[in-house]
Amino acid sequence: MTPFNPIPRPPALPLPGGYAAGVQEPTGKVDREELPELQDIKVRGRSLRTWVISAGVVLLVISAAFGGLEKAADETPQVGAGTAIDAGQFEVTIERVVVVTDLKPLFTPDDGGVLLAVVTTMKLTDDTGVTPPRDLIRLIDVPGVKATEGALGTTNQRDQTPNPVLTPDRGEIVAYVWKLPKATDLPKEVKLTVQGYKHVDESVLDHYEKWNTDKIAAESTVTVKDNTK
Amino acid sequence: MTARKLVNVVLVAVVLVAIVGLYRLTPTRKDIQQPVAVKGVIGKPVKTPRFELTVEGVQLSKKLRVPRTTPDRDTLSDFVVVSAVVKATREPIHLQKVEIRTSDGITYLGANRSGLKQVDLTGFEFAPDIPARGSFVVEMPADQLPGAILLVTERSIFTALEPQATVPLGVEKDQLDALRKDVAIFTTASDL
Repeated sequence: MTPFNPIPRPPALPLPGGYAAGVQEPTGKVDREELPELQDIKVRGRSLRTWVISAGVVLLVISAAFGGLEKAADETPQVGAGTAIDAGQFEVTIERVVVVTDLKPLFTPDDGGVLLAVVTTMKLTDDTGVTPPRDLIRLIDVPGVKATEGALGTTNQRDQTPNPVLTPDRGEIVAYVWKLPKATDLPKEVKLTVQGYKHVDESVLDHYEKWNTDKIAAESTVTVKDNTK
Repeated sequence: MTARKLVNVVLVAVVLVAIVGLYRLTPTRKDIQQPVAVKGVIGKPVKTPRFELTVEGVQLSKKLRVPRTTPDRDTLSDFVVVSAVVKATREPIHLQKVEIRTSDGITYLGANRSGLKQVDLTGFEFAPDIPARGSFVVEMPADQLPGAILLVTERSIFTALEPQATVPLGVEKDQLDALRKDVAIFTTASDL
């Protein structure tokens, strides 16, 4: 195979006057093609700004058909005991937090341990009866309890029914119960979170609807009442 | 805009609407996952492939006496006690999910008060071909009862395409007072 040998270009012939062919007379500055300003650029007769705004409007219209843009995440609200918290599917009011030696026959602590109960008023705002979700309340920074751990169980105050069925639009007093192990200093106050739930409604393309876990609805710091003595 | 462009825009819109419309005619996840209603009337057996349910009557009360427990229970709304006869037709079964759906579309789940499961029909094991009489209990406002429907399913979860006995309770507004008791008392579920 013959190697590629470019033909050497002959040197430019000197022209009369001492100028090479194709070389312009030096003017002292380099000439460049003037670029138009961004706002002056036209595409199919319309300015770039018009095209960008139009594209944005079209995108927003299309997104609106699929539920629109999501709101930016806000800071988790800090809510004290006694104030109703909108958790989507439920309206939750943290009433008090108590430590007790046992809640027989439903809940019994491990040897030497105690039980911690977060007492709430739960109002089911949805139109379908359910039992309280285990992950609604979580404790944060309580010794002996993992922050990711849901409650041991729930019970109503009315007749100690475990995992009680909630009636739509009625506020039932429900306690969330955790075990605290032996040799754990009883907390003076606890920080807890209330999980929010989001209703996934029917979209343009599907009739499906359900409640999904959403962001944390609120955080609360509540003084613990010691009922072990 | 020329007439041709206008026609194109209209055609695109028509096609998009047709796509969405046709898609919505196809069975959705909800259609596939919901139970299959087996409709009946009060006083006559509703025959599903796996059980028969005969609703005999309804009583209302603010208090409920659960056999073998004290004290009488109270409620934030009303106790609706539905007496019924159930017969399994193929194999031993439990009826784990009971609901009452009102004409407004609100669904009240069967009560699970402590001690209730030991005596009502949701805790009873039905033997094949042996009818049993007992009660279902639902907590709901009594004034929502006119037009309400009792829904009974064998399983509480994974009810996709499961037969669901669907019985209108047939309670009229002027019958509510007659159905009300001071204390709703029901007998423990048992074989007939």
